[in-house]
Amino acid sequence: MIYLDWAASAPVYPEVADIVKDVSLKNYANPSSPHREGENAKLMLEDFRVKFASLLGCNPDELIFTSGATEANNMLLYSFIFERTREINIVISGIEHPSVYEPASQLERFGIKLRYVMPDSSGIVTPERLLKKLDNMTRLVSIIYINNEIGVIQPIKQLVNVVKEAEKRFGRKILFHSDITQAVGKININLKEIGIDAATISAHKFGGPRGTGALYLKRDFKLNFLYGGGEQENGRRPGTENLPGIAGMLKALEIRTSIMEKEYPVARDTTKWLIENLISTELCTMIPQLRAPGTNEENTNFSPYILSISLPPLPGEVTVRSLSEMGICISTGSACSSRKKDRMRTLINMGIPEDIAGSAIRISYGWYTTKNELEEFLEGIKKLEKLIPRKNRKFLSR
Amino acid sequence: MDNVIIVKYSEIGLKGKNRAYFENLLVNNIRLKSGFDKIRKTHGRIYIEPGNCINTDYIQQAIERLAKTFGITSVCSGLKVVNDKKEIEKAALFLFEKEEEKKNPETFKINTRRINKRFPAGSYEISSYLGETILKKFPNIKVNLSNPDVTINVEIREKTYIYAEELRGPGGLPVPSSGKGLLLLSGGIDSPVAGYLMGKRGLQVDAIYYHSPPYVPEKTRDKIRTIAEVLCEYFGQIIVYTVPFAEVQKTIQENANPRETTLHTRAAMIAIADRIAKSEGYNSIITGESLGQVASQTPESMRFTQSYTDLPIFRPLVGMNKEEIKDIARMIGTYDISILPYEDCCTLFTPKHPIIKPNFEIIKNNFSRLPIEKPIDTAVLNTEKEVFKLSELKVRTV
Repeated sequence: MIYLDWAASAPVYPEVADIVKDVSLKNYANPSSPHREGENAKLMLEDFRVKFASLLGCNPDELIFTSGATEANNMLLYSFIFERTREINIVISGIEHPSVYEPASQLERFGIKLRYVMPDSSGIVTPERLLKKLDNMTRLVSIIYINNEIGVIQPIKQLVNVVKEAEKRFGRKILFHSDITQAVGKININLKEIGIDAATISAHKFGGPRGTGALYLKRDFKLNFLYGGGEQENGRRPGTENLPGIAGMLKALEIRTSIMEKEYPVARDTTKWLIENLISTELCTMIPQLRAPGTNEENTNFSPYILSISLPPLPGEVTVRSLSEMGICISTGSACSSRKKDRMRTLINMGIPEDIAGSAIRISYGWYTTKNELEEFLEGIKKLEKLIPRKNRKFLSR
Repeated sequence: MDNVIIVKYSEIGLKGKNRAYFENLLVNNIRLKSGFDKIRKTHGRIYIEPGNCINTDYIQQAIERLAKTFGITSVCSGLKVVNDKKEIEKAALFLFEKEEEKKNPETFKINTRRINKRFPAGSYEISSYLGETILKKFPNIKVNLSNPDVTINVEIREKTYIYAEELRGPGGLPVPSSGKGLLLLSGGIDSPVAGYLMGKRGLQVDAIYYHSPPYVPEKTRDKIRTIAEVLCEYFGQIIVYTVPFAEVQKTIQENANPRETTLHTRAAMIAIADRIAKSEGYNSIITGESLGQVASQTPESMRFTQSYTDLPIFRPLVGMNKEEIKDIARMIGTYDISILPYEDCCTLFTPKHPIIKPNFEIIKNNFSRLPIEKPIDTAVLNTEKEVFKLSELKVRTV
């Protein structure tokens, strides 16, 4: 089996699995219990929090442990239901993960105005575009740091500056949130230095266990969350803390931090090689087009761990299914017969034509992926040629 | 006082000399579906005597199955007693108590028919007598003759039959009084409804499904199986012929004018159905076509596609609106399965602008020039046959 779906879920590090097991077996007491074992668990939890915060460059009390990024995104967005003025607006990019996009759309039902800032054709949300969307009623901006479908990296510091200036101009605080799920453990992140006010993290994307993640929220922002019923995480995320999961998440990030900077240039070279080979099959179109060879400068804007290509006219699902039969796991964002543009939202919002978007697939890989596996994947892609009716192939080269 | 299941049927009653033939088919189907052996037919009624079976759960399941049997207009569980006033009173009260427990009614009515004129009391007299008995026992309940919550029916024949709630059946003719038909089953909303409607006219329906892996997922085939299981509740047994269709589709795609591909595909389906129908002894082909619904369902297109069989093509939905079709699909229980979003026809093979009014001579000529004979032969040769049967009724031990 060749696993190229790391952006959906990455394999857990054995050391991580060990520590999850250890903590589960030894430190099962509830950190909220007043007895000694409970207090020990509480001490451990706070110790993990301090270490995790230092790896991310934030204060420990700015971290709220959650069940993952989806919960963290939902928590943050839905907290705006408590805003007293109904006239406020929030701004999200056109390429957000559904766990931001859907709660944001739901907020419209509560009278909150939702504005989209669309990326340019390369997937970048430019500072100019963002600036146009802000006004004195904007309370939240949410822009995904590394997009989960195409791997585009946003110029996040520049975008933060735009928001900071707007804050000064309008005299109101604007919360800048970023879903950094696909960035953590892959590129160096210092939250304070980036300057964002809130961020969401998920452990199983960087070798940690499932069901664990975090919401980073700067001290300056006091939000009311929808949950109730416990004092955990300062009452912001009630529910018994997932101590083994948090231990595993910390371990994974420690491992990643020690090696990610060394791995990154290697991953970039591999990606470059893979892209060149994919393009040479003449079946593939890069998404976006400028990620193709010859436009290398632009490539710094993309994560080397996520690659989006399109094999028109083969619907993405047909490609996924056929490769799956060859033992290769990849994924798609869109559905074959479904004409719902919703499933191709990210690509359509980038201005990618519908027929290219409908044929898109995502390849995502990581630290265990070998070149041999990628070569087999390329062989698999070449075999797909026989699925394409010949006339269509001619039609393609037009 | 004995348990009895009373079955009413209507249309067969109108038959002349071959009435016995239809009745015998119905009795046979009842035997197969309910598992009961003691079945007696008299004028316009069939009585099933469960005998020693006192398991009400089993009887209830059997009744529900019979309510899905073609030819039956209604079915109910009741009691049989000797023609004696006291016995009738006891049974009526017993039945009412059960209904009272189940429905908590506010009003009731006694409906007496005295077919056996030798019985000393008149029907009005009996009704009032029984009504009084019930009112004495349940003083809070009122009589309502026009719209009662509960009706107790009393039929005095050679014995007296007492029953309350009737389940409505589909009516029509018992299968296979009209022989066997082959239904083109796609997984959409329409085709199962078409099969059901022809079943009502006494046609035993089996299904043919065109499967195109990897263009459509295996899930779609499972969906067809689930639909077959639902139809099985009506037909008792269903055979599904699965035709491997990808090569045929690809050949058409590669060789035909893109605007004509839908029609050629449809014609190829009919040609394959014709061959399988003839070799397996079917007298007709059934489709879920509704006039004007899609490109291949115009009169011109139908003229073309039906020219590939000389068997009659039954299209029971031809004059129905989508909403009417959906209502029947909901009633027979296939709607929720049909709307599951698995592809039944890959977008790869769907032209943007199909021809809707083909010229008969031209399109026939174009079809004849397609190198499609061999792929069709292979498809017919590799067709798989699966038999779906109704499961045994389960007896839960009380």
